[in-house]
This record gives sequence, C-alpha cells and structure tokens, in this order.
Amino acid sequence: MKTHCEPSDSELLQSMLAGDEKALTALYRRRQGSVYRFALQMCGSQAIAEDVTQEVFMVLMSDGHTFDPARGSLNSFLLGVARNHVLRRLKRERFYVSIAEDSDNDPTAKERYVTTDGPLDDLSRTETVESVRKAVLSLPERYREVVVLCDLQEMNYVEAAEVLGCAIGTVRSRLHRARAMLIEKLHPAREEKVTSATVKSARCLA
Amino acid sequence: MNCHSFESIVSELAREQTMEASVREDALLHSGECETCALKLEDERLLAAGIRALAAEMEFAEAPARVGEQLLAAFRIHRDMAPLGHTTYRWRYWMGAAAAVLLLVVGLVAIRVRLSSGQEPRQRQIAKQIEKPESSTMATNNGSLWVSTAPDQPRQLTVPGSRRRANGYLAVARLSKSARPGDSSTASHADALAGDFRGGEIATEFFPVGYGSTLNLLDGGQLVRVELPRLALARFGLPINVNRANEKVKADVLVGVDGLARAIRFVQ
Repeated sequence: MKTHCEPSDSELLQSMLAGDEKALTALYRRRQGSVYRFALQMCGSQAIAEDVTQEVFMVLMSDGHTFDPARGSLNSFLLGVARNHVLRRLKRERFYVSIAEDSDNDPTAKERYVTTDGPLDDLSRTETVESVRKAVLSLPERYREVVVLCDLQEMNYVEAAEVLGCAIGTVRSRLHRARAMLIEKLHPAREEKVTSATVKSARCLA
Repeated sequence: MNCHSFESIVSELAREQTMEASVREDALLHSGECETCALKLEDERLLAAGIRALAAEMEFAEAPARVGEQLLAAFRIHRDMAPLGHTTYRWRYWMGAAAAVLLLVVGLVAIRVRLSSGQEPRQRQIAKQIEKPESSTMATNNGSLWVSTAPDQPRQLTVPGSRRRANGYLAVARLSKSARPGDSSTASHADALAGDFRGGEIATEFFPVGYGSTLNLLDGGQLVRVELPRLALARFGLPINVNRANEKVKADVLVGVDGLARAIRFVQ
C-alpha cells in the first residue's frame, strides 16, 4: 500500500529536475542517510561526511539527467558519487589516510585495537564499537569501501559492484581479504596462535 | 569436510547466512574437531558481532538539518538561474570548446600562410631582378641605389633609412636582410627609381654569373659599380660597336655575402 503511494526514486528525480522542490525534499529525506553514513564510515569525520552529502545532492541537481535506471538504482548512483568525493577528499586530506599507514607500521597502534580475550567479552560495547570503527578506518580504501558497503550498509555483492564499478568477484575477494585484515587487527595475539595451529593441522593433513 | 572447505564457508557460517543444513552441520562438526577452524570461526563471529554493533550504532546517523537547508537554498538559486536539465550549460560548454578549437586552427593556418608568403615573394623579387628584362633596378627598404646622371658623377637615390653617400664613381647599394618585397614603400621607391633611371642611365637586365644560386642573395648582398672592357659585352651575347671596342663600359656587379659575383648588368 505504502509503495503505491510513494513515488519511486526515478520519479522523484524527474520531478526534482523539473524544478519541484518537494521532490528534492522527499528524495533527500529518503537517501541522505545512506550517503551520510557511507561517507562517515569511510572517512571517520563528520565534517567531511556533511560536505560529501551536500556535494552528492548538488551533483544530483546539476547532473541528475545522467542517471540511467538501467545501470543500477539511484541509491547506487548516489553512493558511487559519494565514493568519488570521499576518495578525493581523503587524497587531499592526508590526515585521515595516515591512520591506515600509521597502524600498519606502528606496533603500538595494533595494541590499541587489541583485546586478547575477545572484545565482546571483556570490553564494554562502546569500546568494542570504537575498536571496530578504528580497525575499519585503518583499512586501505579499496578494502574499507567493501566492508562499509557489504557489512555496514548490508548491501549485496551486486549492489556493491554497481557502486564500486567493478566485478562481483572483485567485491567478493576484496571483502574476504578485508575481513581477514580486520581479524588480524582486532586479534593479533590470536592470529599467532592460529598460525602455529595451522602448522600443526597442516602436518596433520599431510 | 576439510579445513579448506571450512574456510570457504566460515564467513557465512559466522554470520548465520543461508546455507544447506547438511553443510552447516558438517562445518560445525569440523570446527569441533579442528582447533584452527574453531578459532577461525570464533574470530569471524566476533568480527561479525563487532561490525553488527557498529552498524547498529550508526543505523540512524543522518546529516544535520542544516545540510538539508543549505541544499534547499542552493536548489532555489539553481532553479531560478537555469533549467535543471543542464542542457543549456552543456550546449554552451561545447560551443565554447568548438570556438576555441576553431580559433586555434585559424591562428595556426594564418601563421603558416604568413610564413610561407613571407619567403616566396622575397625569393621571387631577387630572381626577378636578375632574370626579368623589364626589371632593371634594385630597391630595398634601407639600402640605396646609385644611378649615374653624368659619366663621372653618379647620383644617389636614397631610400628612407639609408645614409647618403656620394663618393664618386664606385658606389655600393646594400641589400638588406629585412627587405620586404611586398612592402608598398619598396614598390613605390622602385617605381621612382625606374623613372630616374630612364632619365639617367640605361641598363640591361641582370645576367647570371657562374652557377651560384640567386637564392643566396636572400641573406643580403652588394651592388658594385665597375668598369669592364667593352669586349665583355660579347660574352653575354650583347652587340659590340667595333669602333668603340677599346673603350670601357660600366657595369653593376651583384656580389653575394660570400663575396662571389652572382649577376651583372651593363649600364650606359
């Protein structure tokens, strides 16, 4: 019933391009959350996320006619634009990129994310969320974006591939690698155990 | 199930995604037997829980209201200024680009034409001076041509920019590098000189001397007045008055910058 009453994204976009202010308001209310969250999860800065959200909808106002529904949903289109803006901002403001670089080189950075007996058991929920957030932000951009899209935004591989403009297999492999890196960042002590155990099991399997 | 198979489904297992019941049972059984796979499953579950918690915390995160207000204000301005379809801007953009390209091409063509036309007439002028019979004078922008009005007193016709010299019988006119054949001042001076020439001396056309190219004269040259035995006329196929064979005849020798004579004309 609700879907019959509410116009689709494409219809709202057409109305907006025709100058309908209400269509813009409706479209903005419907889609700004995912754009803002994506930008925030990608860069970890509210200021940048706000800027990116605004820029994405400005692009929609000026170049909205370039959107092709046959190539994907409007949400994917908006997130694709947001991704480009975020990557540009990250490139410009090296401060946010340096988190990942530092954490890879600095051994104490890993310890900040470390919880030897499991984050959910020993740390409070807030601390856990914070450590996961930092771990995600410390990932290289290509891995971070698949985690944000597939795990945090709960998109399927097809939608994520539309946003990133790559093959589904690429999304799958990057996500697998990203999760392994996250585990490594969150549980480095356990990783060592796993490594030794892997040797044992390898012998066993051999 | 072995470790390799377990690893391929551990993410789905930890996130409790849809899979075949038998596969799920096998995987859980394997994790109970293999310590490594059990640790891997635990890690994946902890990561999934952490990510779920992070996603849940940010689930309702939204841009502040001021972003929407600013956007709305921008939308109103944009709507008032131009159609939102943006076709006008795009059209203007392409028209501007096309105009820029056109200007560039026209400029390049003009430069090329000017360069080529600046060289050819110059060559033609020199060649004309040497080869065409009706052309018997040499005029330059800043050089001078010497014409004798009396046997022993040559008259100097000065072209603007040249300095006046009256040193008698042997006079030199300098062919300037900067001489521009198409120059109107040059042409008018040439006409004037031709009139004086008719009233003063009579000269033959220039005869090429040797095998040197007249194009070398583009770099400049000198016109040298000399006296030669009258028999020299015969070498260029001109008639000789045998009664005056012992006399001398005046001639202008065109000498290139390399010091070699390029052409000669006889003056009476």
